[in-house]
Amino acid sequence: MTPTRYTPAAITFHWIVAALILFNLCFGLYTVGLPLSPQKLRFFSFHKWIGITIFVLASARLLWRLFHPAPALPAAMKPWEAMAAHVSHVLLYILFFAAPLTGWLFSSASGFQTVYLGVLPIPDLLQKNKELADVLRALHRWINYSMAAVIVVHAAAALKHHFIDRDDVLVRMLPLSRTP
Amino acid sequence: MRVRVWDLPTRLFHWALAILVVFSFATGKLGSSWMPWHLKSGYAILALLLFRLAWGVVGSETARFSRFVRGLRAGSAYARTLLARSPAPFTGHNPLGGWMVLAMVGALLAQAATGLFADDDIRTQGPLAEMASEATVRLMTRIHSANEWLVVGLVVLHVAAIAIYQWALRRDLIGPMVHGMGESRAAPRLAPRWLAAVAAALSAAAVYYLVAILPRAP
Repeated sequence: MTPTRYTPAAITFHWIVAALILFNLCFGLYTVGLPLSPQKLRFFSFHKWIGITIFVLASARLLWRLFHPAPALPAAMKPWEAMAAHVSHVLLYILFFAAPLTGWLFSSASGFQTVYLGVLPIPDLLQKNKELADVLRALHRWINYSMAAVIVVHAAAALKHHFIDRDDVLVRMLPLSRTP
Repeated sequence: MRVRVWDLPTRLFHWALAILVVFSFATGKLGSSWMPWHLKSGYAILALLLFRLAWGVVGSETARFSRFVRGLRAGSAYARTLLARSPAPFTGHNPLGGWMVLAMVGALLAQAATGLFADDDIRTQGPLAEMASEATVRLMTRIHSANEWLVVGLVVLHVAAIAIYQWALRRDLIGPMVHGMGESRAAPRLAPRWLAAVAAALSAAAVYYLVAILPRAP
């Protein structure tokens, strides 16, 4: 039997990761624009901690998904729509991992070790290297711009499903909603 | 029956604000020779917001805060009807719309007020920047540039919500905001136009004092 709803665990993962990602996108963008100061460095540390948290939660979510598959897409969807839905979800997962990984490598290449919550040092894979750091900075930036773009498409698609196609795609991912 | 849901002052306020917010965003991004226009546009927005605050107290029924600002319970009850794709009908702002009004007016008020003290370190200064300490000016400038994106987010949310109501749920919200007429069981009480004129004049005078008289005070 295929499930018609996401599991409560999947719903919890979805909304916590969504909130952390939205916050960290804005927070990162804001911190980049600050003039150099001790506060800016502290903010970057927070930014990295949240990024690591997202990485861990997204990994757990993916593991959970292996054993609790997502409910099937509505049968009324055209093949290209179903394909677009799958591609955008795969893309989102790739970006969830690519964003923190490039952030971590960029941080190492810039000579800043990441210490999770100020207590757990994350090993540096890369030595300090100015040229590499510049490449990784650009990569980290564009990966996050791409993620923001896919998130906009994701949210717009959810609203289209709910209000135009009038199916249950949005509701089955909402917390606290009664199931028929 | 068909009644006047939005009075003329509220509609003029809305569309003037919409145009000026887009204009402010554009001139702020273009910068350099456009900055004097950015400042003037900001003063006009501040005056409009002061007018809206006053009109929210003394204006027509659908414009009053006391009428459309609702609590969490009313908001979530309404959100459930919206999620069920049959939003409960409201004359004027629905509870979620009321929250959006507060968020939008609050964010724009913060944007206009911090702009008065902002300094871009090139050649543009808010009219009150001279009167404030360097630390205050730095803080105000930083809030002004970060809060800009909050405003953009609210505008996107607002336009997306209107689009969903208009075309997916087939509820005409744009029409009433243009011509003022909509369906309602009772006609909202309208405030006299002269009162709007007085509120607008006082708002304009307050902004004129802030940007033209106060900075030159000895």
